[in-house]
Amino acid sequence: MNGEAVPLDVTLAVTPALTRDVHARLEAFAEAARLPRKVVFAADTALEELLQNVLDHSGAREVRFRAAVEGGELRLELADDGIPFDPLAMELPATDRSPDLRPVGGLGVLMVRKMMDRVRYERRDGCNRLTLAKLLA
Amino acid sequence: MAIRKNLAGTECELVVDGRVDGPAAHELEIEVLALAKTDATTVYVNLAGANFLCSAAIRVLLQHRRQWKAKGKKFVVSRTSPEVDEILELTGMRDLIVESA
Repeated sequence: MNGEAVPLDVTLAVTPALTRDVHARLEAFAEAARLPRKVVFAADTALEELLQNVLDHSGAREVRFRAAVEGGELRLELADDGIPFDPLAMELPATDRSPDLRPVGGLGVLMVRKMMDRVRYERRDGCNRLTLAKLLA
Repeated sequence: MAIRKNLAGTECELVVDGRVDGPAAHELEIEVLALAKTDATTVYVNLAGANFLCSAAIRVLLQHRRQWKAKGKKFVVSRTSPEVDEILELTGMRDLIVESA
């Protein structure tokens, strides 16, 4: 049965180890919640891409990472104290063009949007907040 | 992530296993840049053992594919795992996949 895990709520320093730290925490949470591998893979992919953006562009010092199973879906939240940056506002690459002609940017956000069922950005209380959801079934 | 190199004349197969995340993509690029300084004219990137592929790794594959092609050389992904296949499918990068002989 899904949804038995205690919600995860951690605040982590932004260091080069951030993405691997969050990956390990997601795996532990997913095991406790007995989440389907497909859901975990989608969440893992989205978190990797979004956290890499934080590392590369935000100048943030801390990231708050929350995960919970509610209403038949996995819900994730990332909040960083970096400069205002909405990754969802980035133009998506045209996937129907040949790889030889296509610009190389925007792939990460494309992966986030395609992997998750819902993604939302807001700037609130001096933080970038991204909320994501993936249906369990 | 682990990378093994199988060399045969001017052909090289890079066998990439495990999680290819951001730091791993950087390691992969260092390996590819090192190969560019050798006599290798064909590189096969074997991702059959990779269980995760981030966008930074895709950019490494795409950029070096273009650079090698511009020099008249070949740089292709030869094999994929189901996870890598899913990522390449949703990013529209299937054209990167070329089966080795």
